[in-house]
Amino acid sequence: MSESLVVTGALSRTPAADVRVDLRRRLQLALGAIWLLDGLLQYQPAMFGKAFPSMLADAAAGNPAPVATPITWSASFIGHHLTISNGAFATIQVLLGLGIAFRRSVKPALAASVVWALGVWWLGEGLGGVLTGSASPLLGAPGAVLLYAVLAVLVWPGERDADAAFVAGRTLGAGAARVSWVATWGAMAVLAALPGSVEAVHSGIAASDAGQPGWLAWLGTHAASALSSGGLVFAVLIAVIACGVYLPSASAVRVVVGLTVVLAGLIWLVEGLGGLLTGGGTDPDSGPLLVLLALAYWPVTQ
Amino acid sequence: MTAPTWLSSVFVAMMLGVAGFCAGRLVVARRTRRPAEVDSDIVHVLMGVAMAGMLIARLRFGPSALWAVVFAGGVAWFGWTALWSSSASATSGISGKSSTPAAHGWRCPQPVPHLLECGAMVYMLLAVPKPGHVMGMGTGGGSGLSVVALGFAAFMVGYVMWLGDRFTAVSSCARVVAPRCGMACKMAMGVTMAYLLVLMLLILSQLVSGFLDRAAKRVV
Repeated sequence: MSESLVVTGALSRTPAADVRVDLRRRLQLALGAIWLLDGLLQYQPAMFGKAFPSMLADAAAGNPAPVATPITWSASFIGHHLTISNGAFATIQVLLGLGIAFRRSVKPALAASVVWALGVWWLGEGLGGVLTGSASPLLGAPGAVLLYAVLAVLVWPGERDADAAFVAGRTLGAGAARVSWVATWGAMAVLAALPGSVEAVHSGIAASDAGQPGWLAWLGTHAASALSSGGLVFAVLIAVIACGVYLPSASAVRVVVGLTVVLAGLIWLVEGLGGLLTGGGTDPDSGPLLVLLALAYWPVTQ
Repeated sequence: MTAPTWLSSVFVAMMLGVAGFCAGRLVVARRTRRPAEVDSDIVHVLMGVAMAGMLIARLRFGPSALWAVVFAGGVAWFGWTALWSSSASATSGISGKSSTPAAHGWRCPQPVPHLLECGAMVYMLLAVPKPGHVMGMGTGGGSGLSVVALGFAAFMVGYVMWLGDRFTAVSSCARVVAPRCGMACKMAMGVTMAYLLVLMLLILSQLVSGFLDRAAKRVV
């Protein structure tokens, strides 16, 4: 990334010198900002209490034994070493965010974030509930933290295809990046079409409404009703998005990406903004990650 | 709801360190006649001390209202500087002469982040009312305050990332005293302020739920 660092005005007196920031760097910084926010949320006093390991243990419910056993063990371990464990988790996430902020450390920080995210996806989110049969994209499936890992790969500062029209294509190559998009959204479409999905949304919304401001609970409930009332329609909409990156014109792809951003916003409302306004959220959930994911496919050239 | 003592102590140490650094930088700049961001360094000294008091009660002195007035002054100053800066930039674009505040050598060239920092301080000092005042707070007011806290926290996190992104570009081009340490201090200030704002989310949530509980009991 250092090659894109251009200082404008060599005699500038200001410490915060102007540097050129392209879309990929902006996405990296946004991802880093979310990691930093996650770390600060993890420092909340409530996370140093017994509710935190209990929340982790809940992720084992419904999962097969090979997945659930390590979750139960790690939740128990964390429960016995709560202060040091939670302090370490929060600090690691803060350091991941700051590591992405500094250009010299962006590669190791992104690599570490992939490892950390996959670990949390298993031990903290129970693989996003995808093996339970009741996971829904409206509740963050296939797992918000998995999207951190996917994004870290998509915005990796490499140049496999410098002529690609979108950020993710520069890193992975346009073909592989499109396959990655189809895999992500295709998996979400499948999860949305599962019979247990709609029921899970209604019970999940009822649980997440607790402590939410009235206006947010109202918006979330109505957005959930609109999106989940025709469960199959929602699944088809996601499937259309999944195929949208193969449209031939850049304008059409921009429409699909714009639609994805709107859908991600609605999903975030259903998620209650990740519970951030309740003072008990540990992360902003999948909505903002889906927006960043979509922007990584925004065609910047014709 | 209290944060672990060791965690508060770490943040307090950072804030007092920032305050000490900024005070020291002002002295060194004056003695060596080098340019300095006098206004932002002064406000960071005050913020460091005030936030240390917010984190650990023993370090608190002076009424909150007085601190709020001080930082409201900061809002006015940086607001005026930002306005002057934008209008002067437009003028210099026409005349070709630089007359922005930054060109005067003692004002911060990026007043907007400091304007918002001061705004966040005023907010934190005034948003959590005393227990007696909670009774008059409605649900809408509480949730509105939470949104403001979240907005300020998101800005602080973004500001920290913005500073980090520019960190490596600093040393060769800046003439101010210890520019990289200065940026690190601003980042530490941003992280600590974001942490306090995140704590505010829980406090406000508890205030609103406490109010609702009391209201429900009255109805029953």
